Amino acid sequence: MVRLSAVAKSLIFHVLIVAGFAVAMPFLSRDIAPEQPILTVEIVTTTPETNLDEGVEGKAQPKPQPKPQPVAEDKAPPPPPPPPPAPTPQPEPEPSVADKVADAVPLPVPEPKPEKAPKPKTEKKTPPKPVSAPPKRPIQKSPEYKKRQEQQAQLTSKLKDLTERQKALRKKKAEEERKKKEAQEKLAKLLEKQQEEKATADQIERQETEEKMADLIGQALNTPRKTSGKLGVSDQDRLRSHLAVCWQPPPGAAGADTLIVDIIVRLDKRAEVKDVEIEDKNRVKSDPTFKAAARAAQRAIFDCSPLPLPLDKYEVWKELQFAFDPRFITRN
Amino acid sequence: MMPLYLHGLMMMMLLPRFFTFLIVICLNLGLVLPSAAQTERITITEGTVEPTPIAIADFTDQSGRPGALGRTIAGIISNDLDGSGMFRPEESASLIPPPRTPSIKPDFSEWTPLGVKALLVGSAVERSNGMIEVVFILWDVVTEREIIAGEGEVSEAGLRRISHQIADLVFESWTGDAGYFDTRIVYVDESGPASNRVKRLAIMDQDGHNHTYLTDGQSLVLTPRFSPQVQEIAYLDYFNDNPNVYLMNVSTGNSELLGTFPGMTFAPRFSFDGKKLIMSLAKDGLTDIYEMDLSTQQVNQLTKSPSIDTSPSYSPDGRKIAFNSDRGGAQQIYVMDANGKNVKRISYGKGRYATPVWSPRGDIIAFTKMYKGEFYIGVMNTDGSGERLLARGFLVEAPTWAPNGRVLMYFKQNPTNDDGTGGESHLYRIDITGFNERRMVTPSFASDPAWSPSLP
Repeated sequence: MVRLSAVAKSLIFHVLIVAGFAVAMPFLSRDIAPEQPILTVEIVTTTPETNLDEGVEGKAQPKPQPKPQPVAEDKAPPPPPPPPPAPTPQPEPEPSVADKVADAVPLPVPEPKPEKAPKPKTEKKTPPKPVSAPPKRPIQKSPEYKKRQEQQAQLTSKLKDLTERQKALRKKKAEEERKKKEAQEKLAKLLEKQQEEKATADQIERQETEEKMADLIGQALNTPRKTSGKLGVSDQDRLRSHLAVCWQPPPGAAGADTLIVDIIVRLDKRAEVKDVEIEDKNRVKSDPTFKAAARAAQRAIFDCSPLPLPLDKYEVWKELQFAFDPRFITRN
Repeated sequence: MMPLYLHGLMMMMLLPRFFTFLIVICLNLGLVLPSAAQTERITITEGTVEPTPIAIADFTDQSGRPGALGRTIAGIISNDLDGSGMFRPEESASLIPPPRTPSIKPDFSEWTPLGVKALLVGSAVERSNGMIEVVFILWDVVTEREIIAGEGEVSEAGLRRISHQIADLVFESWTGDAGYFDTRIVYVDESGPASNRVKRLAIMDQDGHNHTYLTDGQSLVLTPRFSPQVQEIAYLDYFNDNPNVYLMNVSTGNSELLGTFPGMTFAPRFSFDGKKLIMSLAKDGLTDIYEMDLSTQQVNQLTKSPSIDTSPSYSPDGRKIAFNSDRGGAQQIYVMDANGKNVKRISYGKGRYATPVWSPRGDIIAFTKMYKGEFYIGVMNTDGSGERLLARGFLVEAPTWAPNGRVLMYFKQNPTNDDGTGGESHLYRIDITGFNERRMVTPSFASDPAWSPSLP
């Protein structure tokens, strides 16, 4: 009995699991999301300026000067009376060409500009003179020929009638077919349009769902999320290169990696800056270095106003979030 | 009881669907999270590094127009900021009439055509008691906001000093780092022929004004070092041909010998709290590093090696010491704990390295490098990475930090000719980004500079 009841329990348990999965599975299966449209990416390069020299060998050194040869040993303590470091002047030969080449940063060799292909001169072609047609040979018609011609004409007229009727029929049929085709095309277009609208609606719905999910997950993970919408990659790159000109972070500031300034920018419909908000206001109050970095970021935004943005997508960029990362100063 | 294989079969049937379910969940999460973060934050990673164009208006007097005092103040501030390499004062600013008093908001449309980002306006009004009341406001021309304002009262003798202090405040509010204009430089003044140079300690403001000699040139002096906290200098004096480290109070000019040692002491440097002095002591053919507690004059040996250990420099927190040693065969820079333990070599580039000087900010170490017959001044991270060379020459030595850790000063010496001429040495300074090397103006040749802390 005991054994039987255990088997029965196991069976009931397993049946319940199977039933549960059978019920749940249809809900768990999801349609694979359609592929995102391919975005065109513009690669925009900006040129950082610096006078810095890396200590690593192989970089060009500043101010190349003729080379003397000092050997100042500061390791030994100066004996009394101390010899001041007075290196004897020994005119050294200039660094060898090989050294210079090794030390120098190779300059980009300008590619030869493709020569402009000479435009082919358009020759004025004189129109050919019309050649006069050769004179027709007179045809002499025999009576038999005439009779045959008449019979032929009758036959031809009958044939003509028939052909015309066939033509008319064909024309009518073609017309009908054309109309049918047009109607089909119209229908197809209509259907396509409906499908597109549906797809867009689906996509928007999916995006909204994703954003809602992201919000929920963000809330769950305590990560605040702003709703600034999406801006194309090329639009973002255009903004970056635009702001790079206006942004002058304080150079040499200690801890550039901790001086990233997050800033929220509100814009009007002409993409002109309405107001700017530094996110970490507490740090602005307590950290003078961060305050200077924040001011520099703020100044860059106002100085670069209006921002280069697609005016027809106002809803997307009316509020933007920027992070000004000054690490490029110490990177170079 | 259900046979075991039935369990297995059931699990085999169910597991794939279950894992599919899990994968779908994970994929959705993975897809949602990055897209949420990606769309909203546009990171700007490139900018422009160049001096900030600034308009420094001549300060107005009681009549509301630029006066002689006002022009002097504006000139000193302009020279300070220009010398920092961080600002580019716009010369034509003097052509635009400033507001009658700083309390009147400037008409920015008059200044923006100059392309300036900052505008400094102020007044210097003489009072009946002979004092001068100085007021200033720094404006951000782009955002039209006030950045900093201040006022002070000085005698005419204090005009240079208050101007340096205003320059410090402008620098600080714009860059976030402390200014260094209200500071002084002590250095070794060199006069006479190369074969018989007279070396005296001299002191001047960081812009070269208010030059004074501290010693009379009777004995040779070397390596003056300012205390980071007070106006005191430690230096090496060959008094009676006996080289020893002395301590001088700059205000009174009094010197005292720092202890008596069986050997010769040299290369002194203060700890950042000013309480200890670290130096080299050579005796019995050995050169090691010692520290001295300045209140008790108690001495503690930190290194003990057959090599030559010298040029010690404390980190700002006092926990580490950088020094140079030839213990590895050639001169290199090493870092050790403040108690002399845990010695690590940090310089691995080509050439020989010497004179490490820890930045007051603690993030980098300045050094002297000798490579292929030339001298360089450079900086590296405290672990030896990120080496950057800032200056070079025939002989470039003795880097010293401005108290804000942004600017380095050192001296450059030319080669001496066979006829005894040449060998000129001058002081130079450069900011740590490698821009803007400038020569200091001194009455005669100069070497071994040491930067003071900000004046009290």
